[in-house]
Amino acid sequence: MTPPLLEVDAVTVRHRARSAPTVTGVSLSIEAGKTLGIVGESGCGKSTLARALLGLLPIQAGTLRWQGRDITRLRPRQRLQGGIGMQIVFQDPNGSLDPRPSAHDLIVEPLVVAGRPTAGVAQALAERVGLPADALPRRAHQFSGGQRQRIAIARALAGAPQLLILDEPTSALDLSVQAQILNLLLDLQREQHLAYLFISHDLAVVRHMADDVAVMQRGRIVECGPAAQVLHAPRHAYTAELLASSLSGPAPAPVEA
Amino acid sequence: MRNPHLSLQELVVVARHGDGERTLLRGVTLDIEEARIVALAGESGSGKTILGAAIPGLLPPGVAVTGGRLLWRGEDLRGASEARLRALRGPEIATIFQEPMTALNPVLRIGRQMTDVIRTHRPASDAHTLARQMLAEVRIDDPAAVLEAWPHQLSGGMRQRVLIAMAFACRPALIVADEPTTALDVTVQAQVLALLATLAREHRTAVLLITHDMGVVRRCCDEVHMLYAGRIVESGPTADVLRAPRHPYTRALLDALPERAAPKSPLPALPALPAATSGCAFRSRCADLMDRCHDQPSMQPSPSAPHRAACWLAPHREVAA
Repeated sequence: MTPPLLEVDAVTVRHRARSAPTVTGVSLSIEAGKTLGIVGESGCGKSTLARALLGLLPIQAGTLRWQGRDITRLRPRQRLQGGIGMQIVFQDPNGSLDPRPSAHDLIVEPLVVAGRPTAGVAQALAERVGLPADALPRRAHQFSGGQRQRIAIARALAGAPQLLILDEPTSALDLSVQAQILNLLLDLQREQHLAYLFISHDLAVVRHMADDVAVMQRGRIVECGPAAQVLHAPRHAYTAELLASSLSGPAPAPVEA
Repeated sequence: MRNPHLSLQELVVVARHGDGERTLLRGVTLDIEEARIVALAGESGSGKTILGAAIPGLLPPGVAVTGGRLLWRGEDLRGASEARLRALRGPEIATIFQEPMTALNPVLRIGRQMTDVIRTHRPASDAHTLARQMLAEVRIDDPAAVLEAWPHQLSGGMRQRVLIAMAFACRPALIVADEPTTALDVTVQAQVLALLATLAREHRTAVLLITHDMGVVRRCCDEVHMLYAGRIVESGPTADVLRAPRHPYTRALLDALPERAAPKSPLPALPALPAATSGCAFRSRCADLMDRCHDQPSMQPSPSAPHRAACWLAPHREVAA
């Protein structure tokens, strides 16, 4: 049997900053080509977990395995050299993209850092994520929020990753733009057999995107299972509470015109 | 008993830059009654933030009201002096803007900033006690500690709570709240908006809540006005608008919500096209385009008022609904 793409085994993360959320004994697994959704309130440790998976925060206990191989102690540069194809797209493309370089340079930067060839890559990726042809020489601040998120996705794809961590990728966007970006992510997943770790507070978005869902509360996973089951018939009281307080509850029934 | 009654009538706002100009609001009409929570919803660039800034007279340099009326309890604020507007801001019309960090002075403790605001508008009151009370009202567990804190020591969500407390401290009749879009973690944003709605109900304060989030509209607001390219295209009680939208823009936004789609199926997304510059602004993206759409439709009168939409087809949608 092939091991999962990423296996998180009883991982504990403690920030040096006292106030930051911690992660305690979290176990998850993500299969190639599939989406695992993570939901939970602000401060539950979702983003701390994402940073630890990327190697940006040290893991105090537990093991991280990439296709069966222990990568718990690998630093970001060693991961890059070791072919660990994991990238992240953040919530707010305004804050996460450097305003100075052109869209072209933002997209190919991961390749430049890895010392890989960049010729033609930005053009192909820009076209794939639906950026206009004249976008590449422009800087991030000249784009709308949706376009900036397309740049962030193109940049994440530059290193040909197998797993994208999507941390609230559409939460800062208008509804119609959110729909476009979700459609793009679903297309890319089918084409490139990408796995997603999809972090969101929006249960409807997670229900739409995820195969499996894990619910986090105070740094722990309290419930995990197929999306339809967890989000329709939750077993844990906290999941039920989260569903009840969700702003994106059931929508009104469609109307025929 | 206060009776906040804001009435915008055919309000036009224009931005001038160099020798050119751009119309940001193209004749906006809306009323806000006492104690009503009213949503102004629309996408980025629709003009909703400009509308929120125009009400308390806080338009940025180069942007001005050039037409229509802006009535606050019968007084047209278009001709109001800066001194008059300053006297209104706080005790009558309070504002909560997008960036909780920039709205607070970084070199003053929270307590000092709150008591300054309170003393400006309520000289006789015990400002310190009132500040503590207000922090407790916004569900801050340790008001004494927060009063002693510097802005940078608080999280974004706490800062936004402090700003809400400051907005309510002078017991205004209307709060204009422009959503904390980029500055706050989204879950905190939902909590803070729920808190704002609860306090508004308790104090019978009217709120104009500017948002792009239809979930917030549904949960918090009595009425909703949909803004598209500087015009209100649909208005009505929240439940009616969301259940049976009559403008194709509102319908398209609701259709784009993932709730209604099968998992992993493509969502119906509006084409990313700019608004039309003549006739109905939405016609460049509309699926029901007709010849008539070259003429801008006014809000179509409706027997079941107050739910109305600026679309030639709106009366037909009403029959069908």
